[in-house]
Parts: sequence; C-alpha cells; structure tokens
Amino acid sequence: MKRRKEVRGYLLLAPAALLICVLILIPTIETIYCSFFNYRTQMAALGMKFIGLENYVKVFSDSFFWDTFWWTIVFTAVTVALELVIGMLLALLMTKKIPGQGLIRAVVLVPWAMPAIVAGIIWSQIFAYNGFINNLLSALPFVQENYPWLGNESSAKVAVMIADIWKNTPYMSLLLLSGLLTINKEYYEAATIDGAGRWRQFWSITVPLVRPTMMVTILFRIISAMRVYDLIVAMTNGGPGGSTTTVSMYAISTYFTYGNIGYGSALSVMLLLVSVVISLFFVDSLKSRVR
Amino acid sequence: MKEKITPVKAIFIAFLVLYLLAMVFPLVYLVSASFMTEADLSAIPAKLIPSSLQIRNYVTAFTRQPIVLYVLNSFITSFLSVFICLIAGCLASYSLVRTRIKGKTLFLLFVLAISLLPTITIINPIYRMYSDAKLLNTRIGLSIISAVLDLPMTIWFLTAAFKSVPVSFEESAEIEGAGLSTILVKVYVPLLKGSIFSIGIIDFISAWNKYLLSQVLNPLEKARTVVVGLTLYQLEISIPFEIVSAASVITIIPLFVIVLLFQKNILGGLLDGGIKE
Amino acid sequence: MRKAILVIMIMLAACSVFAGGSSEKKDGPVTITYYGRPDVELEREIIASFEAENPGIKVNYVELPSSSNDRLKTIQTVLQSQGTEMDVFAGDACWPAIFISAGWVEPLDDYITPEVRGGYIDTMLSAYTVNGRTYGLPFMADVCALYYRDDLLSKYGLTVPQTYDEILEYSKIIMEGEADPNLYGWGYIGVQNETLACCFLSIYWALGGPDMVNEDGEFTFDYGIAEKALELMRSYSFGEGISPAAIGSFDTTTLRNNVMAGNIVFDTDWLSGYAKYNGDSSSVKGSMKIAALPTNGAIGGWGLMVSAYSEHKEAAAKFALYRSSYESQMKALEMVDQVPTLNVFYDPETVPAGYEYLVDFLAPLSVARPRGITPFYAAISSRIQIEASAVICDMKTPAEAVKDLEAGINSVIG
Repeated sequence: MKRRKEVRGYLLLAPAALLICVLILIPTIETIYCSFFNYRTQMAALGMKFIGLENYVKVFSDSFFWDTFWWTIVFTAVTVALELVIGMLLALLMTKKIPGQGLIRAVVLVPWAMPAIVAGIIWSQIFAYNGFINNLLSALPFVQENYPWLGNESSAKVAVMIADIWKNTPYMSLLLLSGLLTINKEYYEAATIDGAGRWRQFWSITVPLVRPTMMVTILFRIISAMRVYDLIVAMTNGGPGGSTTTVSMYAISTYFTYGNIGYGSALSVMLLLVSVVISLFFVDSLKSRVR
Repeated sequence: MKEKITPVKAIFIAFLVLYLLAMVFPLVYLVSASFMTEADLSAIPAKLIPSSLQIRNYVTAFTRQPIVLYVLNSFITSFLSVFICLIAGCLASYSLVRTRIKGKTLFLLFVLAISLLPTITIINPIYRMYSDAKLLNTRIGLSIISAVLDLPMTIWFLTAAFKSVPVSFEESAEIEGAGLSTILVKVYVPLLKGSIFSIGIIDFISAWNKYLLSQVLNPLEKARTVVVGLTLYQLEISIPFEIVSAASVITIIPLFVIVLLFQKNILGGLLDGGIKE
Repeated sequence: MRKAILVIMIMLAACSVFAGGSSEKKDGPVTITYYGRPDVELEREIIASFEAENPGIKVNYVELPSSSNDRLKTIQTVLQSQGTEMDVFAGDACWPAIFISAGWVEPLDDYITPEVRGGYIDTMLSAYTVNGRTYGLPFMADVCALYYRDDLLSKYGLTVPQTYDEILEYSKIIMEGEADPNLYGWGYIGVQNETLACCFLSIYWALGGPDMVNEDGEFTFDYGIAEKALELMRSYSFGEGISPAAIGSFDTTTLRNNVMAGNIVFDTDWLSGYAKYNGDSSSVKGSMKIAALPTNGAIGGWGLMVSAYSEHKEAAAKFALYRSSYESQMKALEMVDQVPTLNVFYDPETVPAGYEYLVDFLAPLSVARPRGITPFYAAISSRIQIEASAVICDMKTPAEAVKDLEAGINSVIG
C-alpha cells in the first residue's frame, strides 16, 4: 500500500516534470553550454570556438554590465517593496464587503492585463515633454519650462518604476488575496472576542498565516522584476544614456541584436546565478511547505 | 457591526482613493485617446478630452487587421494554457504535499531555479524543437510552452493551497472508499476554488501577454495572438497612438469581462469563510 | 488513478483537435513564404498580381512586427535555425552586413539585369551591396533629411543651410528676430534609439568622419571626430541654446508635434515626416520644405533579401524582383505613400502626376550614405545611441562619452 502510494506520487508529478524538462531544462542547458563558447552570428561560418570561462571573465570587467546590474537590483528592490505594501492594502480592501466591489476588483486588475508594450506607450505619453505631468505642473506659478522626465537619469528611473508598480501591483494583490482567502475567519472572531485591535489582528493573525503565500509571491515578483523587458523598452528603450537598461535587456540585445550568442548566454546565466542567490534567502521559509 | 472612523483608517481610505485614481488615470487616457483624431493627439499641450466622439479609430482597428481572429486565437491559446497548467500543477502539487515521495524540496527548488532564466534566451532551441515537431504556427504549440513557463509558479502557489487543507478531510473521504480522482475533484477542488481561480487568472493573463514568444513561434496570421497583432498597426517610426488605443480597448474589454465573471468565484471562496476543520 | 490520467489524455487530445493541426506541405505549385512589412492590403494586392502573372508560384505572406529590433529577432530566429519556412523577406537597410557575413542571404546578381540595376537610385542599392555583390533589392527609400521653415528663411533673407555652422548661425538670427520663447532653431529625435545614432552619424560625416569600415574591412571609425560631433550636439543644446535643453527626451511624436506646432525652424527627420509636417493637422502646412542634410544623411528604407536556406530561391528572387519593380512601387506609392527607390519617379519629366513633391526628395536621397557596412553595426550603433544620449542629457561630457564609446565598441568587436 505504502509502495503503491509512492509510485502514485511519482506518476502524479510526471506530467509537470516531463513538460518542464523537455521545454525548459534542455534549452537552459543549451544556453549554459553556449556561454562557454565564442559564438557569434557574424561568424556563423566559423562555427563555435570553446573558450572556457572567458565570457565570464569579460562579464566581470564589463563596466556597462555592472551599471545594468545595479540598476536591475535597485529597480527590483524598490518596485517589489512598494508593490508588496500597496498590493497588501488592495488585497485587504478586496476582502471587504463594499459597494461596487466586483467592479473595483475587475478595474484593479486591468493594468496588469494590459500588454506591457501598450502600458509602456501610455506611460511614455504621460511623461512626455508635452505630456500630462508637464501639463499639470505648468499650471503651477513657479514652473517655467517643461521638464524632460524621460530625458534625465533619475527621473527616467522613477518614471519606469512608477509604470512597473502601476502594472504589477494587481498581480501581487491577487496572489496575496488568494492567501488571505485560505485564512479561517474564526481566528479573527476569536481575536475580536479577546479584544485584540485591528492592527494587532493584522500582525498576529494575517501576516503569519499569509506569510507562506507572501514569501512565494515576493520571490516570483522578484524573479519577474529582474527580467523586466517589454515595459522599459517601450518607455525609454534603455535610455537616457543607457541608465534604465536592465541586465535582461542587455543580455537580449547582446544575444539578438549584436548577434553575440556566447556572451549573451553568459549574461543570461549571470542573471540566473543572481536569481539563485536571491532565492536561497527564501529557502528557509519555503522548505516548510512540503514538510 | 458599525465601526468608528479612526485617523489611521482615514489615512488608509485617502491613500486607497488616491491610488485608485492614479491607477485609473492611464486607463481613462487610453479610452479617451481611442476616440481622438490625429490632430487631437498632436496638439500641444496634450488633450485629455477628444474634440469629438468619433469611432473612426475603431473602424480602422477592425479593418486594418483581423483583430477578432487575433482575440479568438489569444483566447483559445490562453484557455488551453490555463487548462494544461492547472491540471499538471494540481497533480504535481497534490503529489508534493500529500504523498511520500523523495526529493520534494529538490524538485521545488529545481522548478524554481530553471524558471529564473530569461525566456528569450531559450527561444532558439524551442524554435528548433517546434519546427521539427511541426508545432510552429499552432495554438496548441504556443499554449503548451506558455503553460510550461508558468508551471513553476503555479506549482509553488498550489502547494501552498493544498497544504492548507487538513489531511483529515482526505482521510475521511478515503475511508468512505473514494478514489484519488474523486478526492481531488470532490474534496480539494471545491475547497480550493478561490485559490485555483486566482492562479488560473494569473496564468491566463500571463499566457495572454506572452509577446516575444508568440511573435517568434506563431508569425502566421492564422495563429497570431492579439498582443502581436497590436504592434502591427504601427507602419512607420511614429506610433499611431489613436488606433493602437482603440485596438487595445477592443482587446481589454473581453479580458475585463472574464475577470468580472471569475472574480465572483474568488468571492465565492471568500464567503465560505475559509477552510474550517 | 488510471482513470484520472485517461481523462487528462482525452482532454489534451480534444484540445489539440480543437486547436487545429499544423500546416502541411502540398505538392503542385511552388509555395514561397514572404516576411514583409505589415502594410497588409498593399502587400496582398501585390502578391495577387504577382500570382496572376506567375501561375506556378504561390506566395504565403507573413507580416513582420513594426519595431526594428523585434523584426530582427523574428528573422534571425528563423535563419539561425536554418529554417526553410522563410524564402524571401523585407530587411532594414542597416541589416544586410549582418546577414551576409553569417551566410544567411543569397547574392542576387544572377537574377538582375544591368537595366534593372541601373534603374535604382545608386545610393539606395549601395546599402545592399557588399564587395561588389548585391544581396538585396530596395523597394522603399528613406534617408535622414533636413526640414526647414521656408517662410522664416525667406522672411530673414536666408538660404538653405549647407553646414551645421550655418544651421547654428541662421537659427540664432531667426530666434532673435522672432523673440518667441517657444521657438527653437534645430530639433532632432533625441531619445536613445536608432534615429539618434543616424543623426549623430550625419554630424560625424559632416565634420569629415570616415566610414566605420574601409574597403579592406578594417575598422576606421574616428573617435576624435566623434568627440567633436558630440561636442557640437551638446553645445547646440546647452551653450548656444538652439536645440531644446530637453531634446534628450524628444521621441518621434514629441519632435513632430513641436514642428507641426511651429516651434522648430530646422529639424533632422526621416522622409515620412514630410507628409505629417505638410498634413492638415500641421500649423506649418506648406511651409515645411525638405533639403539634404549637410554632407550626408543616413540611409534608411527597406529591401528584399532571399534566404540562403530557401528551397525555392529562383521563385523567391522572382518575387523580390517583382516586389521592387516599377509597377509594385507605383502601387505602394498610391496606396500607402511608400517612397520609391527608382530614378524614374524623381525625374521632373517622368514623376507621376500628383506626386510632384517626390522631386524634392532626390537631393537628400542622392547624398544618402550607408550607416556602416559591418556585421557589428547593430552593436556599434547601440553604443553610439547610449553615449550620444548621455551627452545630450547632460550625464557625461563628450570626452567621457567618447572614452566609454571606445571601450564599448572594442568590447563588442573584440
């Protein structure tokens, strides 16, 4: 019986494992393999030349890579943190019975349902030289000239982060909501009887109980924030002066636009390694999930 | 129960109202731009209200590209993708949470780790595989790959959900002689409806918005998805924002309806008051 | 358990039936696949008349995405996997060197007669010619040109500027004369993208900069002149003030809206600007004229190339020839204002009625210069974009930018 149950367990896991191995693992191995070669489309006729770790050595001395790397980290940290806070507030709101609740839920989700390219175009229009932000500001008496929001390093970075928060907070709040929904209401009822306030209840019931979901949500948001591409490409194309270029944008243009498959693969693998390191921080809270 | 409005609560409400306004503004702008003329959009300073309500952009959006076909393709692809994702995900999560197999943590870490690579860098091998398997330009092909890419996330969230169901529920069903499929369908699915719908919506939107993948794997019109279709309205270096807006609104409406329909299911899960033991 | 798996398998099978099977190959007439620009109606019409003329060939049309980078990704993915599912494709004028060095495109010399060759504007064909062999047939012309406010020039008795110094000088005269705080002398697309690199290259050439690569394939880009070009762009924005200080945030839409609002005297833009500037929603309609940029403007436009992995190269070449023929280009001009690549359209004697403005395009087109015929062009250009953007957004001095540019380019081509 026990043996049969174990076999059954593996069988149940098989479809997912098989799909993932064939369609992600094999291509991933190929990417890692390519990262040890000098392989460029411009020299496709010459084929691939094994160069060991040379691409990785180059990554470490590539100052543009480090620029994109630190920006990616800052972008990820800021957007995920704010998305978590706002997302939690929205999720809590969505559990409340208020008039027009269904509509609010649906409207809240629209930004996230919108293709990143379209979102990027809208936000670039809003932040444009003759766009709405400048329109609003020009009503103020002390504002003389339109401000180049996307033509200045720090304001372009802030603009991109605002757009990302706008777009991805719904994702965060929907997942947090799915966690909130598994909490037994009786806990709150008991706490209310004990005289615990809202704030207390939030920290001693909601947070601990929603924590497993929250940690996973944060982790997956971090992973996808680190790979942000379409939105920034549509908004700033990595500018001004390359300051909003993320690692994945750099990797993708190296791979496709520059045709340097070997180095582009090495850059992607670097991103993979960073993501692995980050997810290690989460391992402790994740382990509990299968025990 | 009547509640007093405390300062904290007032700030909370003010913040939410502000956030919701800020959140809605780009959407209002999109809808408004979809009614504007080229002259409205090139005006300085930018206009928020169209000079007249004309639907020419919508007509152009429908006639210049077969957008209805694209929306249909996106729907079929995304539904199939959610379907594959949820089935494979539920089975795997059940197995990880409720059976005694070895290497559970390892498997979870493994699916997490391989989901960390940017999709685009594995697109070349996938393209070759699909070319050999004759899966290019098919909706099923695109839905399989997009399901697989979302599978790690789905599994991670569903394991959390499955874990929240007390084992005793399953045991009592087992004693009554229920088989595995019965247990899954009769015990877990009803209990986890809310979570499963949430994940389903997430997978759906994520499949819907896969841009590069669908552009490279499904370049032919017959299987092209709407996200790719939207970019085809641009013919030269400047973007015809009025037409792209109209097309975007056309695309968002069905999604909006879906979410409206599905959110009742999430709500259903909520009203049940969580899982009682 | 078995039941559950069976159910899933049946459902999956049902899905695949529902979703439709894969495409199948048929015998009979040759079918070629053409990845073209997304002008759907136009391309369909041209294909229909081609098929009518060549009953043995069927053309399968695939629209390419509009963004240049996405197009490149789509085409490269097919070619990298040596796929036979693409026979002929429309390529951007700055790509040929990438494909040629990779061995992905077929030389077309055997298919074109000297008369056909002679029909093209020389500069347009030059973008597709490497080492004397022709790999593409241009069907849509484009070039960076200088637009100017004819009304303002004649008001102050000025002629069309021939150098960037004259642009500066005339701008100052007009800006002082008009005393309008919203009026600027010179505008261009300053956001970090390919057009910025094109604008930079025109200045670099005007200051005497050599081609990126010489005939022996040596890299001959001159960093000293590049620094001077960046210096010029910076001083026009910040010191002299004839370009807006915010030029680094000007995308195509912003630039064009400001030109159309009458806020800019001179501007560097592609040929497609002409119709906008002189369209109904423009306040400078009829007075925005076009001329050649000082020295040279960067070549743009599109040409047809035949994949080296095509199984029907002859049919593909035939289609490429047809798509770039007079007949097709005329249709393209009528339907979507596509700028033609044949000399006959620009001769005052033979210009089609109603399209007389084309004659004015000949000057910028005849000084069009390929941006850089090197397989590394895309990478070099993106480094130029980054550094030029950094300079005009006041993030780096020209000297720092050139230092970074050199390091960046060396890491790309090294």
